[in-house]
Formats: sequence, C-alpha cells, structure tokens
Amino acid sequence: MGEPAREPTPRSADGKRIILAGRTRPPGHPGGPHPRPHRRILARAARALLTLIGTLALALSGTSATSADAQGEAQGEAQGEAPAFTHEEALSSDNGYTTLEWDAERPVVVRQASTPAMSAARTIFEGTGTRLFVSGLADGDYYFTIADAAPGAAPSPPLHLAVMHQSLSRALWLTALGALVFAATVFVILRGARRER
Amino acid sequence: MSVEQALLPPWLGWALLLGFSVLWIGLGVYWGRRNKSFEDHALAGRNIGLALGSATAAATWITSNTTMLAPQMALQLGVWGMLAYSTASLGLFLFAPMAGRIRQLMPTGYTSGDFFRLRYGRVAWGIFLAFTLFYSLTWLVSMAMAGGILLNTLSGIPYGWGMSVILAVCVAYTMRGGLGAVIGTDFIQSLIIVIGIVVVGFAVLAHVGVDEIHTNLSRERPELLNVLFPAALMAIFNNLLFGLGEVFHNNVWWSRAFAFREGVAGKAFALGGLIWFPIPFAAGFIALASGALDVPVPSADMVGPLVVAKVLGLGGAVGIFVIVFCSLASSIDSLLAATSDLLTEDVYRRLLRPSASPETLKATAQWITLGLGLFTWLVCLPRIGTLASVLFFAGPLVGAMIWPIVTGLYWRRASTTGAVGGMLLGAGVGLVSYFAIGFYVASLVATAVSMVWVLTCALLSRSRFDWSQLREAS
Repeated sequence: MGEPAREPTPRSADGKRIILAGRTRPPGHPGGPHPRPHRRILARAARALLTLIGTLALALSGTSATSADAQGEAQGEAQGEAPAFTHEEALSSDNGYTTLEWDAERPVVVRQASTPAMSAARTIFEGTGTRLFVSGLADGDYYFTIADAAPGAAPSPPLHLAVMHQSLSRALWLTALGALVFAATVFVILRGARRER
Repeated sequence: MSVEQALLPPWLGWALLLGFSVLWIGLGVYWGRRNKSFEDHALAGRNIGLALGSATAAATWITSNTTMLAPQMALQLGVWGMLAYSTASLGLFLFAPMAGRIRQLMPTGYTSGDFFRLRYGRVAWGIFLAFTLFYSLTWLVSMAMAGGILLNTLSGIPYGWGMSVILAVCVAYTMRGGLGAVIGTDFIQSLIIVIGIVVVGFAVLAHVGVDEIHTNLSRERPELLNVLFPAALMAIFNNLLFGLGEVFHNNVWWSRAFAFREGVAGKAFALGGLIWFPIPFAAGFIALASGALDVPVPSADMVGPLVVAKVLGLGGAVGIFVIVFCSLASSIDSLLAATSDLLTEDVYRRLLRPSASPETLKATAQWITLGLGLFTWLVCLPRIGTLASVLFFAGPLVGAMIWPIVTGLYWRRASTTGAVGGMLLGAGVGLVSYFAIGFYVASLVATAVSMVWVLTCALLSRSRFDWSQLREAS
C-alpha cells in the first residue's frame, strides 16, 4: 500500500541527471525505479515486448541478456583495477539520502568526511559489495573515498555529495493542505455514519 | 561483510517455496469444493465471520511493500517515515463505517463497479473501470516482479523461476477456491506475518537498546530524527491520501464488504486496521537499528532482511523468507480474485452476456483469473524495472476517486457531473503536478482538486439521488 517514497534522481551539481551503472532496485516498491516521462516508459515497454521471446529462456535461467552483459563488462573492468566509484560527476540530494556505487571484486573500505581533504573521516563500509545506501544526512557537503581493503592501498579521489533539503515552508503548506483535505474526508464519513444510525 | 550474497542457500529456498506452495494449493482445492455458483466463488457465499474478516483485511494490506518498504521508508525518512507508512491503516479504519453503509445500500452487490454504474451512470463507470484496472494491473505486475526479485535476493532462486512459481501458486488456488480460499489462506498468512514481525522486533531489541539506536542516529543520520524533515513531512498526507484512495475504490475491499456476514464488515475492517497499524512501526524500527547493529545496507529496500539475518542468523533468514512469501501471496491472490470478479461482473456480465448463468459466471471468473496470471507473467518475465514505476502514476488516479465515492455513499445531492469532473480533473491536475513538482504531492493535489469540484457540484446540484436504485445491483 501507500505511495512509495523514492530516492531522488541522482544529479550532478549543475542539475544534470546522472545515469548510474548497474542500478537494480526491486520494482514495485516505493523506492523502486525512478519515474520516467511517460513516453520513455512506453518506448521501453515496446522495446521490451519486442525482445520478449528472445529473453524468455534467459529470464527463466535467472538473468537477462542486458544484465549478463553489464555484469560481464563490469567484472572485466574491475579485474586488476583499483576500486572506484561509478559516478562520473558530483552528486546532489534534496532528501538527505543517496546510493554510492562502485566497481570492485575485492573487499573495499569506504570513508566519509565533511571536507575534501578527508580530515576526521570515518569508515562507513568495509567488506565486499558494490553499493551502499546512505541516509539521514543534514544540509551540507559530504565527501567519500573508496580504497582496496588491503593495508596501504591508496584511496580514490573524493566523491562530492551536496545535500540541500527541499523547502520547509512548502513542506509545511502542503502538510496543512493535506490535513485539511483529510479532516474534511473524515468529517463527511463520520457525519454520514452518525446520521445513518 | 558481503552485502550482496543471498541470505539462504538456494536448496533451502526451494524447499520452503515448495512446502508453502503445496500448502496453499492444497487449502485452495479443499476450500473450493463448496463453491457451486459465482456468488460462492466471488463472495464466499456472503458468509465470512469476524475472525476471518479481520485477518483478511489485515493480511491483504500487508503486502511485500509493508514488510520491505516500511523499513525502507524509516531508513529514508526517519521517524516521520514510519508514521507516514502507518497512516495507511487509516484507510481500513475509515472504510469500516463505509463498509456497513455499502452492505446496507447494496445488499446484493458484487463489485465497486456496480456502485459507480448505479450511482453515477455509465460514463463515470467507464472512467472508474479504466482507473481501477490501471491501478490493479500495475499493482499486480509490481508485486509479481517484487516476488521474483525478493526470492532471488533472499535465496538465490533465479528471478524467472521465483516469479513464475509464486504467481502460478496464487493463480492455482485462487482459480480453484475463489474468495473463500483467498480469505482462508490470508488468515494463516496474517498469523505468520504478525508473529514473525513481533519475534523479529523483540530479537532486535535484545541485541541493541533504544538508547544505543538513538545515539547512533543522532551521530550518523541526524535528519532521520528531525521533526522538520521537509520530504518526510510532505510524505505524510500524500501517503495517507494514496492509501485512502486505494482502499476506498478498489474491488479488493468492496468484495470483502460484500462477502462479510451481516454486521461484520465494520468491525472486521476496524480490527484489521488495528492489527496492521503497529506493523510499519515494528518493521521501521528494525531499519533504524541497522546503524547501531553495524549492518551495511546496499539498497534501502533490503534493510529489513539484512538486519533480521544479522540478528537471528539462518533462522532469521528463513523467517524473513516465509514472511515475504506470505506477504506476497496474500496480496497477489486478493488482487487476482478481486480483479477477475470485476472483469466478470462489470465487463463480461454487464456488457457481453447479461443472461449468463451463475455456473457460467463462475467458470468465466476462473478463466479470467488464469488470463490475468498469464498476462502478469508475460509482462514480468523480461524484468523491465521501468514498468513497475508506472504504478506510481496511480497515486493521482486513486486520490481523485476518494470524494466521488465518499459523497456518493452519504450525500443524495452528489452528482454525476461532480463525480466525472472530480475524477478527470483531479487525476489530470495530479498527474501534471507529479511531473511539474514531484511524486510527493501528486495524490494530495489530485484529492484536493477533486474535493473542490465535487463539493462545488454538490452545492449547486438540484438533483437528489434515490438510494433504492443501488439495490438493483443483483
């Protein structure tokens, strides 16, 4: 039930949309795939229907041509290279949360700081994996580095995340409007139920 | 730790899947033996009591979204996120008095489509059918997709097989047993889900104290405790109104109002809401504990299973697998049953074969259930994530139907012009706001616009509806 809350579409600092590689979020969940313009969805649906028969066998084997290719490429790229974030530009968020993604097969260490010099950085992830969800960030600038977990490994250049929450005044106005609509709905139902009795 | 490995070995996942599949299909066959007519199949003979009624109301509303999304919303939007999700229970609470009214006005009704056709005429009925079928089919597709993905993530079962098995099982027992089987299995599923979530909640508390969780959140995720978190504030009433719209219009809930025994519907929905209300808090609390428990989260929707596996180990992973499977089944079966009944009654019977016998209608409903299952399977098979996002467009559509339904049930002066205009204007402006502003205002704007139009038309209307016209639904 309920309308899903979704992650903000990742954008660069100048507002351009960033396409994240290998993004696989369970659909059907609020937090699932980002909404697309209607035409884009229809185009994708049409393209998918055309390839339906071809993907049938692969789907039953638990993968798809697209994801298999992407995984193969990602693994190939990751072989023997230092771990690095897949984001090509700085990130921004208006909800205080985002997902960090990287290419790596070996264990990695991800660190977070509030300055690009990574002073007073703290480790927020250590282990194997390719994604990390961070949330609850207040307004401000955040920097992340990733490095091989092996001792002495050099960290990647810091990835910048700018968090600027949405307008509080707009949020309060919309909350007030919602409360009014809800109160009116409850009033009509309860008044009607009382009269019915 | 590795955060992207399956929590269970595939053989154990398959064993659990097989065991529960046999159980649900067996129960569906058993409960389906008594169904002779369409009324038995679609409305369980209109004889569902309070215990089954309350359980099915709660279980149907506990979808995979509840067990997976409630933790996600808590992790994204904090304490307000948990509250926003729990407001969905208000849909059940407010539908309680409405269900009694529906039973009183339409003692022989079958679907929510009957109400729109008899109350507002064929134009409003057509708009309603388009809106509700869009909502129901996209919800069905998203649930089946989520099922395949979740089973794959939890146990490594390939997406195609997991999605196919869970869909096939639900289609099989819904076809055979109708609403009776759906409600019966819902009863068992709701017990499993509620007990499972309570056990998990206490297990988490045994591992980490509330003080520790609060300290961790204050230090690492301060915005989750912020009372003035803008996105979370906006989510509260938007989610609430989306939830109201979902419950008020959809035949999943109307069919239960018609199926419950006389005098049971109001109590059953209220009790169902009470059972459901604490679940988002328990599930959300699990997510807020992830930082204190040092559980890295690769994606927000996986926080629940990861925390449970960390706290309870293999036993917890088995538990979350069972809970997710029950959550999916209890919603997919209800959607299949309610949507097939809607198509059978509102399209086949009303438009194509008005003279069809009860036996023919029952057989038709079963074939439509199978057809819906096949349609869903074909759409889900390529695993196109963007298709599921279409579900989000349903927010303004269902929000725009709230006021035509509420006033149509209680006000004689509620008019067809108000209902048609309210649905079209509300949905239209809501969709525009979806793209122009964001998803977090779409349902709210749609409901507000629809409300203003419906109220204006009702105030200006000179017509007074004759309630006895609704009794023609049989």
